[in-house]
Amino acid sequence: MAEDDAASFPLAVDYCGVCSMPPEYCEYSADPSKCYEWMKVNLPDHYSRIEAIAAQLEGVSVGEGKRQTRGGKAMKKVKIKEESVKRLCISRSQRAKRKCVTVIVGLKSFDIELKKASRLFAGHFSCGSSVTGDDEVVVQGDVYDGIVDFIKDKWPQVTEDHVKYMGDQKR
Amino acid sequence: MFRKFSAGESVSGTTQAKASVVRGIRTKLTEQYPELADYISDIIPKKEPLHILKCHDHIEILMRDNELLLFRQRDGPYIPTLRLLHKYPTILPRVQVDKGAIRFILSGANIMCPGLTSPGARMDVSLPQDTVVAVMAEGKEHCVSIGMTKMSTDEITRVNKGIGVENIHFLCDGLWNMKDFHR
Repeated sequence: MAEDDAASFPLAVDYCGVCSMPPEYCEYSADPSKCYEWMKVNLPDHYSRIEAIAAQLEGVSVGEGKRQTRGGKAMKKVKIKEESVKRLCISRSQRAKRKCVTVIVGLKSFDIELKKASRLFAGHFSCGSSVTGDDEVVVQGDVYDGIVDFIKDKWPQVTEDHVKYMGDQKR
Repeated sequence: MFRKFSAGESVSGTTQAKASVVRGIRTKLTEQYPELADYISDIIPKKEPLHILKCHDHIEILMRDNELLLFRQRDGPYIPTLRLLHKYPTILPRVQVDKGAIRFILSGANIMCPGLTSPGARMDVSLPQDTVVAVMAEGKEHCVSIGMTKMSTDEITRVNKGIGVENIHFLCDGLWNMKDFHR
């Protein structure tokens, strides 16, 4: 640490957007090359500094993933996030005679927090909404038509292609 | 301590701390970390609500504004989270490990004595046993982990074998990844 900035607490620390560690530790992350790519865009200062250090040390440019090989199993195996099929299934099911609920399955595959989503649904449609399963949200009321537009509005990563309309389903 | 830790499973409840409790925490902290006294009102302001997350294994985490600040186990010392320590790096005494040890620490290993005594490592101040220390790394600006000394520093240099510092909280462990907590 530089001694000259002693007075300015709290320090502002930048973190890598990929591995969440301070950029100087990116070389130890699961996939350093991804970190460096991110850093090039978002924290160019850090990138050039790290590149300089790396060049000094071994004359190898960063990103080529030259790793130390001493010791065996310290590094965790790179966990590749499962590319789950992104699909949103929407169905409606009858509850009492003239009441129904709308069931939304698959929000999780878009990294949407179910609890938050259900709160939003409840607010927007002014009805009850709850998380009922691992990846299932139930909205009390027939919002079959409106919900897709609302979801697309709120989470732009969801597109029409992802949505599968299941129609009426027995529960 | 936090290798397996997640907001969903490990946290059993949150409560807002009473003003008297907050006062108690503040005095305790200033006692424990005299360096912190100047910043205590920035870290834990008197007026703002402080939340306590009760977690498994008798761990308590203090949270303000969705930011995790400090934690402790049972009646142990309050220990800052790494994010807080990065902001105020002077609050804990430091030890430095050599480069080879970094990746082991990042996967949660305790710090062995040789990693603290080799040429790349440093122990500038002599510390007694059971001190909370910031573990720095050779050539790095920020600390990698927070640990507790299992021997005094003199002993570490003398014995030079076995666990020197116990790894409590390290980069990318469960607590680190639990950036914020939603109720």
